[in-house]
Formats: sequence, structure tokens, C-alpha cells
Amino acid sequence: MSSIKKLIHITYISIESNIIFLSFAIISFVISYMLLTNTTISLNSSYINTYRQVQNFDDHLLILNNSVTYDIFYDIDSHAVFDYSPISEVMSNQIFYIDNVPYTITSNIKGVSNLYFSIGNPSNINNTYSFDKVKLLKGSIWGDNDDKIGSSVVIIDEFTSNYIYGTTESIGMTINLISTSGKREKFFVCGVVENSSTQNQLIKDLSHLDKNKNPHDYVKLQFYIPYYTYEQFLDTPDHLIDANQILFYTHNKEELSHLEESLIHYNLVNYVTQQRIEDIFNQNFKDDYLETISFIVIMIIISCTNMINVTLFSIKSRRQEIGIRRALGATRTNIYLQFTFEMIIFLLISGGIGISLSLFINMFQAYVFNNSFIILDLNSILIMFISTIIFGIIFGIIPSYKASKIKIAESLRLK
Amino acid sequence: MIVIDNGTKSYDGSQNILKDISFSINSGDMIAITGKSGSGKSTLLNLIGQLDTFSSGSLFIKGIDTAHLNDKHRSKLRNELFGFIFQSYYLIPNTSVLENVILPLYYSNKKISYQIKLELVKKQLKSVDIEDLMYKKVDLLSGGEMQRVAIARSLINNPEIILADEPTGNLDKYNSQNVFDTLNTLNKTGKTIIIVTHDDSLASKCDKILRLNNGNLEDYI
Repeated sequence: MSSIKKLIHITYISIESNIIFLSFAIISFVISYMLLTNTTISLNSSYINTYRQVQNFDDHLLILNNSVTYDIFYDIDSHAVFDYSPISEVMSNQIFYIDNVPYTITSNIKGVSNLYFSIGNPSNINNTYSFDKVKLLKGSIWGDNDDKIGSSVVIIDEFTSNYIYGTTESIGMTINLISTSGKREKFFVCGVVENSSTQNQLIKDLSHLDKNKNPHDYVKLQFYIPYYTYEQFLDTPDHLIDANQILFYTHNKEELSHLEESLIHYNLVNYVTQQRIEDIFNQNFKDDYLETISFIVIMIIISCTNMINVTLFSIKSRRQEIGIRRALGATRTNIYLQFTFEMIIFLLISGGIGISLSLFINMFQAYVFNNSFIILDLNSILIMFISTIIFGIIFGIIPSYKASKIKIAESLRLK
Repeated sequence: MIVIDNGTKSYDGSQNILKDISFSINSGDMIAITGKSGSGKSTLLNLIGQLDTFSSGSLFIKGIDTAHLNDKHRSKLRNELFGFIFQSYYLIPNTSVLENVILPLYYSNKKISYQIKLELVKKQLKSVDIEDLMYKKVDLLSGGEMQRVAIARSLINNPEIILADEPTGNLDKYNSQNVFDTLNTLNKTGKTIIIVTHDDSLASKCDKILRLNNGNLEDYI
């Protein structure tokens, strides 16, 4: 204990006697720490933000194709409802594109913002999963035969019926769709179903946006047509094969697997489930993690090299002082410990200042720019701080050893 | 007390700075080492004070052959047996008088409390009449005051031998006389004083004069 007290006193005198010079050393260390902290924060922020993005997939699919992003809503109630159309394009031009093939929408479906198709399973016609949970209000679901031959029948929801015809009594009415290739199809309404919860939720949510506007102007009109019909109407069922991938996320695992089967069966798309995204992310994270660690280690080594240089320079300029101390009875060990202890103190002081400054600047930046991308992960900063001190001590061995080896008589001759 | 036998010193195998020097110093002696610049006076003092080692020959201090001492033992000798006074004072800048004088106590193996250390410092400062300067920064002191601080520091561990390298070299006549009087008084208390000096009048006041000429021992009277 008394040895430590002695060391503290000796180091205090040493620091006091070189305060101006050592201030520069501290500033240099502070800058190193700030760089390290900033790097740690930005790497952590990048990682955590990416992770958040993965976590934020919510009940919808994304198709990434030819750099165009399509939203595909997965309606849990009706299981198999897709929306292939980029909303903005439909809204502005009354034309929607499916894999760069333009389609127009007939005028009697004014205001259509999205087009929905149902997918039936032709290999198992009896599998009527598409409408299992949808309550039929009027008419009927198309039959197996309709699915086989691709009848031009359509089921619409309550809202769509009201929107287009002003009533839910729309059985037998027609809806026309024309593709730009000139193919025209007249669809007969065979059933009206209850609004899906998604639809209802959408109406509810959007009604808050602009109270002066009819919420119905925002929401989607839903059309359900048999899968074969959908294939014929679109000329080819292979249009989605070009899709690079579907990113799929739903909380409903059962429905997910159901839909996956369907997608695999038709070889429609390459799909990626949320699990797969997480797997990819975890793998990427492992790579990133190693990259991050390597980067931080390099930064620490650079900082420590800086520390070595500063300390070596300090020792060179303090040779006479070391000579005086040795003449007064300091052993080599005393000198070695003094310089090592000095190094630890500098690292602690400059670490404290550097990290605090860096945190403050980052927090200020986050506050001013309202930037949620800056994430202050204190754990990694703490690990970095401790590891830098350990590295500092290890890297301090060389300068401290050099200091202890200085020849007394020679150092005292220095002016 | 100090016996040097055929002591030779050269740096990096070049020309010998000291050549086959042999002499002895008794306890309580007051010796002046004189000679021209470059004659090896300071080197000899450094060798005696264990700041350096002979290239060949032997040096016995209180019967101990110093050639076989390790760093710890040499440091102990420097700390406890020798007190150093230098021409350039060699005070640690930007620190107080107290911090300079107390430093050898920190390097000592004696287990004494800070309060006792403080008392010892006060006592030494009082003995050289600068007690009131204890908390003053050494950079603000005059040459004479600095040398007195250096003397106080050299005496703090109550050494038996005082090694003074040109102690009056940077001082005016009045302060030089003061420093010499202090050394003389110390000698009278039984301490061995070895002074390196150019000043013949100062040397003549010592008991013995050891004259060096180009690394050779010319006279020892």
C-alpha cells in the first residue's frame, strides 16, 4: 500500500514537472479515444439499425425485381391475396406494371389503386384455403370448375362493391380489365365478401390522415379471381419468375408455410422468409462483427503506436530528469513503474475526456439532427476503454523499459 | 572508506578518460578534485557516486567491491550513502522546493510516514536557511537558493559522503562562500566531502587535493 502511495507521489511530481509537455500527450490520447469511440459508435449504429430494419418487416412481402420494389400485402384473413402493382405508378398514370409489362385499368374501375388476385391450387382444387376465413355476404365462391377452366369471375369485397356500384348487390355485374397488349377481359361478379380486417384497419387508420377527405379514396379495391383466370389474363404465369426474391414476413407461421408451399409449387418466385433474412443477417453480422473487431483492433493499435511515439518522445526529452531521479536513488524498476503508471493515468484521463467528448458530440448530433442512427452502446465503449488500457500498458512496456535503461552519467551531461 | 585500484574508464573502447588511477579516501576527509577541463574530474566523481562504472580496475566502498553490485544495490548506495550536489543544481523544474527535497525519501527503503518525511524536509531546509521557500516553485528561485535546495536534497537521507560537482560554478562570490561554509560544516560533523572544482582557492581550503591531468592522477596531497 505504501509502495503504491509512493508511486502516486513520485508520478504526481513527475507529471507536475512536465505538465505542459504532457498536456500535449493527453490531447493526443484524447483525439485517439475520440476516434475510437466514434468508430465504435458508428459501427454499432450501423449494425443495430440494420438489425432493426430486419425486425421491422411487418406482415407484408417485398419483391425486389429489376431495382423496382413492389409491395405485396399478405392478407392474413384471405390468405392468398397479392398486390403486384407499384402503388405510385397506378395512382399517377392509371397504369400498373407487372415486371415492366404495363397494364391499364378500365375506366369503370375508377380510382383503383391496387389490383388483387387470389391464388388457387390447381393440383388440389378442393383446397379452398383462399376463402376459408372470409365471410361471404352475397353470391358464392367460384367453383372448382371455374378454377380449372379459368372462368372470368371475380369476388369483390364489401367496400369495393359499394365503391364501384354503390351497393353490395353487385352479383352478376361486370368489371373490365384491359392489358396494353390489347387483351380485354370481362369479369362477372360472383360473390361479395366481408371486408377483411386489413381493409377495415386501413379505412380506420387512413380516416385519421385527412378528415376532409373520404377515407375510401385511400384504400384498396380488392378483387379476387381464380388463379387460372389470373394466369390467362396475364398471358403468362411466369412473369414472376424473373423476380429476384421475395422477402416475406408474417407473424402467422402457419399461413406463411401455406403460402410458401404455393409459391414453391408454381415456381413463381424465389422467396426469402423472415427466418432466412435473419439467417442471412446473422451470417452478415458475424462477418461484420469480425470486420468491426478487426477495425477497432487496428484503431487501438494505431492509437497505441501514437502513445508509444508520444511516450518515447517524452522519454527522450526527459532524459535529464530520469538521470536526476536515478542519481537520487531511483532504481530501474522505480523508473519503469513511474512511466507505466504515468501511461495508465494518461489513458484514464484522456480516455475519460475523449469518450465523454465523443459521446457528447454524438448525442448533440443525434439531438440536433433527430438522428436515430446514432446508437450509444455503452458496453462496447467500456470494452474498448478497458482493452485500450490493457493495450496501452502492453505497448508502454517498450518506452518504460527504454526509460529505465537510460545511462545516468550520460543523461546528466545533457543540457 | 573509498578505495580505487587501477581504475580505468573509457567510453566505447575509445581513448581512456581515466587511466589506471589508484587512491583511497578516508571517512571524514574533505577532498578537492581539480584539473583542467576534460581531465576526467566529473567522470571520477560519477564513478565514485555509482552513476557510472569503471571499464577496468576496482572500486571499493566501505569494503564492498562495487563491480559486483546490481542496480538495486547501486541505487541504494546513491540514495543512502551519497548526497549529490551539481553545478547546474539539477532540480526538477515546475515543482516545489518540498517536492524536490522529499524525492530521495520516496526512493529510500525506509518506511516512514509522510508527516515524518515532511518534518525531515523542514529540518533540512532550516539547516540551509530556506525554510520559508518550502512551497515555492524552484523555477522562481535565485541561483544561490537553488543550490541550497540541492544541498538540502543531498542531505535529506543523511548520507555519509557528499559529492559536489563544481558546486560554486554558477554562483557569485557571496553564495560560493556560503556553499563552501555549508560543506565545511558538514565535514566537521563527520561527513566525507568530495568536491570537483576549478577554483584553486576553494580547493586549497580542503584537506586533500587530488589533481588530474589528462586522465592521469598527477597529485594527491
